[in-house]
Amino acid sequence: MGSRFDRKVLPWLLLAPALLVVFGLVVYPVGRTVWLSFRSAGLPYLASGESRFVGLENYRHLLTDPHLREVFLTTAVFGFACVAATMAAGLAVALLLDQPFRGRGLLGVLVLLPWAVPRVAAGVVWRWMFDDQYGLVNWTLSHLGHDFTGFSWFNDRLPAFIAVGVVVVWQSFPFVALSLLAGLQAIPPEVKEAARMDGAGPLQMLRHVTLPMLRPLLVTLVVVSTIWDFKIFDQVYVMTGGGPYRSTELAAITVWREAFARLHLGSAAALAVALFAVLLVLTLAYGRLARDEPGGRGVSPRQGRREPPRAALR
Amino acid sequence: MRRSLLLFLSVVLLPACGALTPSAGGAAAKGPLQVWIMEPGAPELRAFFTSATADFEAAHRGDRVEVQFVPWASAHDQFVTAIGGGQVPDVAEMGSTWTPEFADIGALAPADLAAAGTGPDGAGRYLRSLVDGATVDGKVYGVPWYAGARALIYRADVLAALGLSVPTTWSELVSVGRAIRDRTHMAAFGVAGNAEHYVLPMVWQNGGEIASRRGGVWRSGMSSPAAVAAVQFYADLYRTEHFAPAGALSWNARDVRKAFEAGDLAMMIGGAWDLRALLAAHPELTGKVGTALLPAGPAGISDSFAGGSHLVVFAGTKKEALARRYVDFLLDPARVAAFTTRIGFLPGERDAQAAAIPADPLYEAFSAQLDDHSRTYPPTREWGGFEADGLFTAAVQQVMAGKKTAAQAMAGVAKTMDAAFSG
Repeated sequence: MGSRFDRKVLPWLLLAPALLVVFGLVVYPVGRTVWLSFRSAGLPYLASGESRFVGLENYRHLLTDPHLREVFLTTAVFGFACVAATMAAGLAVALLLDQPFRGRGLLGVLVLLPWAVPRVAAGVVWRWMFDDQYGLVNWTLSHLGHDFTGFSWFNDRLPAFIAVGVVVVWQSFPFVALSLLAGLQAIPPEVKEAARMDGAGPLQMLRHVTLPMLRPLLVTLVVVSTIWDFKIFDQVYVMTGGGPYRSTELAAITVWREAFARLHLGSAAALAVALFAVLLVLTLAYGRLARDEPGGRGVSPRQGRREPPRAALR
Repeated sequence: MRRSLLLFLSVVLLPACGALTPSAGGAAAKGPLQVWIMEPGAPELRAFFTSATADFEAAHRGDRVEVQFVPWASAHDQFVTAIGGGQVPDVAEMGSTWTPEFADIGALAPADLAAAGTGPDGAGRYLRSLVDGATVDGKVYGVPWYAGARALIYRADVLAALGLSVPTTWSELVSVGRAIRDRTHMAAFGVAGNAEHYVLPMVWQNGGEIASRRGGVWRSGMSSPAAVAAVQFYADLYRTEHFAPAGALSWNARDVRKAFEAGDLAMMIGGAWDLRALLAAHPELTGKVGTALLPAGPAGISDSFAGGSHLVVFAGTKKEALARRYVDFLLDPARVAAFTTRIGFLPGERDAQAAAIPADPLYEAFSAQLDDHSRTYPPTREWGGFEADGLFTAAVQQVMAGKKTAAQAMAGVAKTMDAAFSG
């Protein structure tokens, strides 16, 4: 009796709190969002629950509305650009911090600071720095030789995205840098030493030893950064609000605008589901990428030397 | 693959906790009365409410009031979120253009203007336009609290030094603006891209209508020639006349005030609340500032938008009696007069207007603007959504940036409005 209870009931009892939390915080809201994406719902839905089934209408709208299509494209381009810049900056800083020099510890702490700043606060501060009349950025650039006096960063899409991108990368590279630094320090010194004995220069070391060995970590970081950068909301909301004339709207901003300003809750839900699907596909693709073996000249498959780097990190 | 899926799920799903779920309104029966007051950026507001709340609690033993200040810019969102989450306040101040929208879905309790002791519709006691703005299908859902209309605020010292007189028409605005632009280092006029209350009244000034009602159905007037010309005129002040710096494309009314405070702007559209706040923050501008009615358009009209707010009681409050007591308390004519004078609004009640302290001549333009040269936007349930969505500002910005002509942009605006009006 007691043992049957232990085997059949007790595990579920122990799992129950976690399952409840997962169901309440994940399954129910996501299910509800999917359900809502097939319905037409406005402000009355919030007050009385009134809504109407419209089938795939919200999704059709998503595919046919030129603005929404543009938003998806913008989100993808901006998202990938931010990921690339974040990874590059993160890797550069990690390589720097991996070198022995005085003040390395202090620099490591300083690098973390942008990550610790709340995103909204960072957005507000940087919007001031990018101010056309009184901003530090224009003042600095003007003193560096180019006349940026009165240049308005938020008047057009490209400069506005550059300004927002700077803030996004500034806030997300510390995490990448620190993770990569940990990865770098986990590379066994023998591997590097062996490469050096074979006469590898610094660039060859990076290309053929360091990066392949960091590969699983890099893929994970790219996945996380992609998900983050496709969902950017705070910085854009604070710095441009999606303007001018909606040209800097990213998917998350559009979901918010559809839901809370236009009160098209069904269409907002469809948009959220679509964003979810895009991220899911990207994640699966990255997952496949991570499993694929590193090719290239340095580690030739024929020599059967593919395994050690992966094994070293397991 | 499985690991990255798990990673994906944990990163994407966990923050998605705030699904939109309807819930029956559930203001708590216990605890203090929850009140939301809009925050216009006037420093005096909080001081007024600290003492008013203390007075109320002293006069009504056992009653407690908790006032929350909500910035105007995010207030519409917050009301929507609160209604969705069933966490509405008991009493709120509501922008006069939003009341129909929220009343229409049953979020607000009907107001009892008759019980306030005047005619059945309260017409005798309150400003007509504010009562109209709170009426949906013949029922009134908010009590007018205060009103305000924007007028022209200008640097009198700068105009005097250049030997210019105050512009009273659009063409004078252009000629005075050109003189300031060419002969000083200041921007001439605050042409802001993110300020619908600046540009929309120009449609009226040009003899147009923003929307009109025919046979019970609202139709947009924004694609009419008069409206298109008004928007083009406004955009050209920025685009071809360069009356404001390039960055003004994304300025809002606050940014305009900031430039005026910094001494970089000579003329702006603003309310008495702007003038009070900027003189309080920059006493060195005292005596250098003048006010006038807005310049009249070719139609000879100089109407401004009569903005204002209502005090509303939310439907389903468990403290209706207390809520009404508190609204009545705030609406006491003497208190309204004291409040509006301090902040820079004008009372929504006629009694309070009479009781308001004789105004400083500097502020007379605002009263004249409100009393004789102002109108309200169409009191439709759709209007709040237009504002929250930035329908007008996004279109005007496109014209200012030269991406579209006013005719193209306004055709799009009219189409969106008509689609919304026809449900």
